[in-house]
Amino acid sequence: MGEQNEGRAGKRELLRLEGLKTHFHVEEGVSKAVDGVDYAILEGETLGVVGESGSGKSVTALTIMGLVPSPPGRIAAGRILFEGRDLVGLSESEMQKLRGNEIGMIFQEPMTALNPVFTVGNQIGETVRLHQGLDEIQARARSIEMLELVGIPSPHTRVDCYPHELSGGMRQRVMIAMAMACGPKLLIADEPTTALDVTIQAQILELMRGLQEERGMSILLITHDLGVVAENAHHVAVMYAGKVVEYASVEDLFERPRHPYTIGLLHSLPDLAPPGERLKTIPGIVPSAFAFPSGCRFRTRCPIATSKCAEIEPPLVPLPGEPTDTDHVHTVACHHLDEAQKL
Amino acid sequence: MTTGTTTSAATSAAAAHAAAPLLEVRDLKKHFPIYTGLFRKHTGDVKAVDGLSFDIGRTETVSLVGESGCGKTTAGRSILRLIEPTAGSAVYRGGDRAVDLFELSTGAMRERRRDLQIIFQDPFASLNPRIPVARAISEALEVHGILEGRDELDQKVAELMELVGLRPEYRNRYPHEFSGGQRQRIGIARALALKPKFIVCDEAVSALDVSIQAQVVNLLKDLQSEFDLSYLFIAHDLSVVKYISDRIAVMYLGRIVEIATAAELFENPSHPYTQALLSAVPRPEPRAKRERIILKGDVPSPIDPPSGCHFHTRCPVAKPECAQRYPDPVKLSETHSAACLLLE
Repeated sequence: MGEQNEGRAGKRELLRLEGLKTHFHVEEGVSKAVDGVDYAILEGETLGVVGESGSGKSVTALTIMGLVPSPPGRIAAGRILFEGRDLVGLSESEMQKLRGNEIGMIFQEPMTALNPVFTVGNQIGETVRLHQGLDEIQARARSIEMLELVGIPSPHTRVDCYPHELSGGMRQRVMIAMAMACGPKLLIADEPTTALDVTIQAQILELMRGLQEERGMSILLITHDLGVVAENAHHVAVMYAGKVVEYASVEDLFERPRHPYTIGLLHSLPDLAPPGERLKTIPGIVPSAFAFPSGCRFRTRCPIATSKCAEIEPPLVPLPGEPTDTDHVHTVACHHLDEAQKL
Repeated sequence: MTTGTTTSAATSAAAAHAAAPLLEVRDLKKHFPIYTGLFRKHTGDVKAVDGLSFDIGRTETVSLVGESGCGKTTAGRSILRLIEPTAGSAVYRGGDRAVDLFELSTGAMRERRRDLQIIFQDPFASLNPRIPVARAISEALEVHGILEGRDELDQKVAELMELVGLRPEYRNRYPHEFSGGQRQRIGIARALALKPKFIVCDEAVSALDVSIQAQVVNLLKDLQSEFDLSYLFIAHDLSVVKYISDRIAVMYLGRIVEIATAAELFENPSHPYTQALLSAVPRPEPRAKRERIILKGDVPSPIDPPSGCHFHTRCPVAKPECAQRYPDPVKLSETHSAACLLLE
């Protein structure tokens, strides 16, 4: 997204998570899906959140939206500051005012997120009728306008289509139109292109970039695809086992990764491996959210873990030498930064 | 004298047999008929695979890539006759002599399947949740009557589990007790049980996280060199394909538009569709400046594919004559060909 080095150039923070914990109390015990997440998104920027399945990246997003079912889910600790206002503890009706209006969200599988028995026009129109008090005719006009904005051909006829009449890429465009209808300040995109073919993925990402440039919204882009992050995010938070282990500008993260997990992820990409050589792997699997290892959660798979790693949980702190007057510096949670650099 | 000639003729025939590709697919077609109305009238066909020809050498990995609906999965399944092909041939030379798989009787084909195995994308969907993994792995051995005794079976299962990096103590666990990567290893152990020569890997690593995907890709490569396996690797993730393949065939609407070695394809993509496909892949290099070709629209329906070159409706460089006829493949090197009028 254009100039990516302006993270510190006086942009305001739109959203900040502080020590956010979302736990699920179920029969088998307490699942600590999100267990101390800190990250921030600047106005007009894209924050990429990467991590493997089960790292808690999607539950974090649902927590921001107030969409975690309770019970069994519960925000155990932390704050969600949206324009300085804490969303934790807001009533359902207050959250409803925010959702769809100030914060929009799109999901991986648009077919399950769209209602099959209503036309797309109906569904886009619902948002603006609810939040902006538009009447039936105005809502329809807005729906057509939104469909045009997201690049759907012949929007005047498509507005009366049902979701099943559209292709996967078109459905994701409709989802974006719905999420954008009220002009939100923040768009949360949870694996928006994972289910799509690569040429369609390129179309959707291009569309999101264009909309961001035009409307200046912030995007929280959740994905497991490091290529998508590299090309679309300004900052990146790497999550592992319910926590952020590294946070940096996109260039810093890919060129100077410091956490052994981030380094391991980048090394396991076939893109960067010379043909014929074995891929480097991270041994083992992600630990269960019911029983995270003590201390550093990555230590059970980490090549440089020591006894200290089992005893003391490393805090997420700025790298030595980074300026401390701003929060958008390269931060890492690891006891052995010097060792990690040799990986 | 006569005996000498016969022997040498037989030897040279055997040598030719050994040197020829393991599998030769020619003009493979799979059309699914569409029936509509009260009387189930045949009103058209979904031409999922529409004339596919390629070879797979011994110990070679050939990949089929393309977007959803291009026919790559149907092609893989048709070759194994998991679905019956509509036309074409698939000459297989894994045994003493060449056989056309499509000509075999059902019984003979079943026998031949020992050599020809498949690994599916979703190991959860392809494993029976009520069967412990040891039985899932040994099932094929029993069906083919290769091993009979309980002890022998147990030992073989333990061997196979170790081979794919699973702990044999887990033999009595059920599929849900394993992670995605482990389940994929179970699928691989199953496929290996009969000592196959050829395995179709149908999106075998697509559902896995990147660190786990790397483990499974390494495993597939190790097994290939240990057992001289040939792979038909079906995938949409081009970075994995580039890494694992010897040769790559790019498919669009049921046909191969370009085929080349992995290096040739990525260095010199020649069909406009291949160029767009490769340029659309996001790369993990934030500073790289890239010329991206963004294709317009969706893949057309295989029921009624566009006239002429199927790609002309989305092609950024199409000319009027592209709508007139389907281009012939143009040979760009010994191992590289592409079907585009602009290359003719």
